[in-house]
Amino acid sequence: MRIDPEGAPAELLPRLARRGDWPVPLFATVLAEASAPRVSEGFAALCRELPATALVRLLPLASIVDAGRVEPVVAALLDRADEPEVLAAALRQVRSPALLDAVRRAARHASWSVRVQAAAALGRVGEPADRELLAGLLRDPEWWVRYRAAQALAARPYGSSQDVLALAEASGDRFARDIVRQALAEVRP
Amino acid sequence: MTLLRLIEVVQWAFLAYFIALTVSYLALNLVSLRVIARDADARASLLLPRFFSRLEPPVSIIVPAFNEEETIAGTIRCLLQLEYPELEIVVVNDGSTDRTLEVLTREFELVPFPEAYRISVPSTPVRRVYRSLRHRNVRVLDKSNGGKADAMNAGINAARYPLFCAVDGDSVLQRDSVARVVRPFLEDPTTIACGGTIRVLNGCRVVDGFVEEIGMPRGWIARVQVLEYLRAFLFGRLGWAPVNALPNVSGAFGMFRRTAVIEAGGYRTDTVGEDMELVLRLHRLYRLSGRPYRISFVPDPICWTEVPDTLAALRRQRVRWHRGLLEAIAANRQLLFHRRGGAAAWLTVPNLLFFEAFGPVVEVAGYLVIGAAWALGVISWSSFAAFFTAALGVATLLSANALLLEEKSFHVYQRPKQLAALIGAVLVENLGLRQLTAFWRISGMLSWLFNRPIAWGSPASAAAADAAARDDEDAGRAA
Repeated sequence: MRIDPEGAPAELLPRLARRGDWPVPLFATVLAEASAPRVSEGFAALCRELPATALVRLLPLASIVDAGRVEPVVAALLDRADEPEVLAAALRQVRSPALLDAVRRAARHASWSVRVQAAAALGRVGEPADRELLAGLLRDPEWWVRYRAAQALAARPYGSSQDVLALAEASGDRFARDIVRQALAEVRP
Repeated sequence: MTLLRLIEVVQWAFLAYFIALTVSYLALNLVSLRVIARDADARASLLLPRFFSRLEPPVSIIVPAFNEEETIAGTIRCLLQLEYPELEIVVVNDGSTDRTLEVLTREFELVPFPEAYRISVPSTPVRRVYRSLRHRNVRVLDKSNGGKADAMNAGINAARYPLFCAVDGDSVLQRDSVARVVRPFLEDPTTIACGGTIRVLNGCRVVDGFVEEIGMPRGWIARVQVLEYLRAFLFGRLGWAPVNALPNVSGAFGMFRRTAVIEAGGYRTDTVGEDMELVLRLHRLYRLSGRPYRISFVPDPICWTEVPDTLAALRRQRVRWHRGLLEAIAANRQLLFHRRGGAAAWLTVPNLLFFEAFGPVVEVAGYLVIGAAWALGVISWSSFAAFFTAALGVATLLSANALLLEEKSFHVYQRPKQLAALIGAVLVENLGLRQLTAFWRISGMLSWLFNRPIAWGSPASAAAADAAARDDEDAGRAA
């Protein structure tokens, strides 16, 4: 018996899309043995065929797909989708500053599950101009949004530790100050 | 009603109970055999070199610690060697009066950490949070004493990942324990809890915190428990899992979805059976609200734990366990025969109540009534002998079937001498120890009924009782 990793994407990806009971993380282990171009071809083909809600399930495979193939898919989802779970799944895959406008819009979404992913995405691709946006998220009613915003501020070049802490203090919110202190201690001991 | 008639009625009642009990155990056995056979191929694939996709959810391992200065550093070092992409370890120092915190501070270079501690489930106050400079994924919560359940709740509050494992301080895991027990969460996103098989550590050779060689305990008390654990996990749990009616996820090692446990209110701190109570509560909440969920079980041996090897320590454990069982059932009695409760309400809880909880009462009453009837000449010697033979025969059959399941599946005990010891344990168990256990379990029932302090009342007394029990177990091992 031989394993054919290069043949796996063409066989498995369409079935994975159809079978909602097949666990994506376990299949990712198999697909990761194939070359990235092979997986990317199959992934791109599926993206053209599947509706957004079905595609969301396969988005975690982006970690083994060429980044160039994923970005257009993610951009399309961020532009067109309304469902929070679709937006959140797409935001998880944001790796390019080209998608910043969509991320900033998402940071003001009504659903906290979208805002938390937007905060995390700002931690990956945000710019110094996003400082105030993140400062606003430090006062979010949802703890996880505040935490991701604090992590984003601590991780990206939004200033020195003192600058970031001053930003939190200026909010007048004790919880904002506490969460920023934690986030700074995590990355800047 | 004459005495003869009364005895006749009682005998029929015992017979009916005995048949119902036997049928339920045999049904669990048959389901387990089927599950083990069906999953044999999947288990074979798990033996292949494992690669992680990095899509696995990160896991928080919560380690409650009370007066563990001798073992805590070794425990944490072992957890740091677990093979899993992303883990954090949250040690909860539950008001230790020994040098537990000092040992942790020294061994892991702990420094104060400005944790924005969030109270999602109530616990006694956390005094301070520390983080390791050497291992950034290790944090220590130092809190006032509240007992194991309270410590777990504090750990849940501090956990940052969507799944958490509850690990006893003296549990010995395998390097792939987390990877195995997380699998149901990957396969079914509605999974909220998963347990695995706990095995007996006594007699095994442990090197650097992991089991290097599986051995058989020397004493018969521990050997009998090897058999008990095989029965309890290989069909007692495995039989329930396919109908999503698992009664318990062992406190020694189990994995939970953090949001589900928080929503359920965390662990109850007013019971000694907090692990079973939580699982029954999850069944109750999800079943009655009609939400899809799964509480799963992986039959793989994933955790090893020391069992009592003296009668005194075993007695204390069984009294505590039986009390915990009754507390868990009482706290979730709403589930019993609830029309929306499904298999958990119509199979699991009745099984726990009528067979596990009241079983010892029926068993002891049976011995007394039948013995008295024989002594009074109401029944013949042959009837008396037939009764005992049937009772012991079924018990022996169930134990033998557990051995068969073990041989067909994991075959952990590979040497002929080990198998012979287990066969011997089948006989030893049913000729004295089982009957003694029944009396102890009744004692547990009485302590529940009359609210006698065992680990009831103040958390300090609970922790002290746990510590005393552990000290006695240690003394028993040293003797």
